[in-house]
Amino acid sequence: MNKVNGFTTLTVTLMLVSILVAVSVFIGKALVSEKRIALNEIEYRVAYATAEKGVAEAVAMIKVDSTVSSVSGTVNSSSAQASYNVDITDSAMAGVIDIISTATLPGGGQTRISMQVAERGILNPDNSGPAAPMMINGTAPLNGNITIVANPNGSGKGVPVSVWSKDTVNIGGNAKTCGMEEYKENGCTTKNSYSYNQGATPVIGADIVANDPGFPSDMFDYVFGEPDSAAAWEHIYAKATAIVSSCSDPLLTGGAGFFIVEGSSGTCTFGTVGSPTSPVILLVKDANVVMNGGSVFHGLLFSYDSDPDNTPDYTLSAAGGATIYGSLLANHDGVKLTGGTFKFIYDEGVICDLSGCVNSSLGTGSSNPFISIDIIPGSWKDW
Amino acid sequence: MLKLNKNSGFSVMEMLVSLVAGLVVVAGAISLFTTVMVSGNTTLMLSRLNQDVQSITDIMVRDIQRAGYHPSAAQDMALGTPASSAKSTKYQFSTTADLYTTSGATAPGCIRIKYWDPDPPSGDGSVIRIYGYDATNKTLKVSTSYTEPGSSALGSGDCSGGNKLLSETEVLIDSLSFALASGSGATGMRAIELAISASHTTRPALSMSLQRQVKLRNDGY
Repeated sequence: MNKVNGFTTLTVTLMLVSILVAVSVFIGKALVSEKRIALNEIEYRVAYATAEKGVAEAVAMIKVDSTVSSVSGTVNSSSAQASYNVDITDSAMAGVIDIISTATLPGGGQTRISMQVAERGILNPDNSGPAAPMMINGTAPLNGNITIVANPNGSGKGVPVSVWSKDTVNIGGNAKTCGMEEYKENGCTTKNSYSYNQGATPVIGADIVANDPGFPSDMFDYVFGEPDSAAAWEHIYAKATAIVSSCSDPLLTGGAGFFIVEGSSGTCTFGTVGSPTSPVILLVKDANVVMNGGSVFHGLLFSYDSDPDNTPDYTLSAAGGATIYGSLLANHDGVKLTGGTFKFIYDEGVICDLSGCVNSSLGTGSSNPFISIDIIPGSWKDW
Repeated sequence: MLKLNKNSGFSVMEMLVSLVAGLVVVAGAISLFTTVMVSGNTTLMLSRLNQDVQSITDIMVRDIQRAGYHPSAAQDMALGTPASSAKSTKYQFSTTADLYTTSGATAPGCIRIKYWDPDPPSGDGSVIRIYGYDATNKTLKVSTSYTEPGSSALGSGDCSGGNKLLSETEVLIDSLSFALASGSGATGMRAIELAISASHTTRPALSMSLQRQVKLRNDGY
């Protein structure tokens, strides 16, 4: 009897224990498989992030050295160690670079990300800089002792243009326009000038293109190669070296670059900006522009009115002695030149630097501050 | 006789005490057993819910990232902003045409993704995938087509079709939204804020929410 009783107790206990063990094993198995799935997912994410790092590093490397052909490295994280290898090759399409980043995990898992980048200038590549040293979407008043040196190839090879204006060009005072050779020899005189004012009779040559129906309807598009829109401004902001609120900001005199002046509370006054070796693109948005007396500007000065057809009309004025080497553009009317001596000299070297042309002293590749490396939208894929 | 009586069994008192003690032990064992079973079941349900929500979020995120890929993008962009007739522009993600908000909802609950897959299961390469939320049945629907994308905006009809991404016998999707991340566009590349919350069908108290920001890698025209 006693023996049988012990056997029953043992059987019941064993059954209970085995049920508990079975349940624990089943739950444990489910948790282990969940952990494996989670680990797999974490490893994928580490590999993916590593491949992304490779792409970012490759873009940074291309910016410094456009001949770089591969980049590699490793990423250590608490959950996995991954190594990446990036191949940088020229695409079949000219100017486009293929970047293929492959991240490998010690277990053999791989993730690949590929995309294409291209060099992109700030200025509209169709124009490679403005056609004239002065472009006004309105009336151009040439008063005072003003000298304008024309773009020798403004309207085609060998056809000089000094002023391109949507409305009339009023020549008064002692205004003269001439070619670079003449200017360098003896300065512009009534004898060697294309256009000038003699007494009360202005002589207007073919270099002044006034009342032109072919004047760009969207100067923003003409300069930056993208129709004026909120989206285009986003792109422009992204390309700017700096966005400042004052024309006296020290950044403007810090070297070559593309600067946007916005919110300058009405008036943007500046002295000397840029130099022959470090020109600037200065975009002044919705402000009166004032060039101080004796100031020298190297680069492209664009006075932009976001609503040129309605008030307020912003003005663009220069005091005596101001000189611009490069180009002056305004997408609005209201340019004023107060009495004094002004020079607007089209400088091919400066415009060449700004558009990254073949002979640019700043370089033709992405080392030129006016050329950026941009990802081509639509080229990114993760396979 | 006396000796025999002594060995014959328990007294009533002994039996009662041993019965009570035995019952207490058995009750304890049963309650422990049930607790283990219930907590094990809850753990399984929660882990299943977690896995399901994570994996469908991953599927959607990976698709959204690819939106807009087309092999001729570079060629179409060579002369500046691509013309609307360019093939790659058909695959661009549009925040107006590719997101659909059901009337009364605060954020879009349906998204359309278009990209080019050089090795598609069918067709020549176009992949159009629509993820839509069915609020009535609390399910997530997905439909895929392998034809070239058109220009029409997403409508309610596009969003309600397709197959279920999850079986509603296990997981119910309580909400799903694909909102455009605020402040998106500073560098021309936008992001989608994906928010999903789900609960277990038989135990609604078991629920979870996930939120992810997905950068549209092929954006920035």
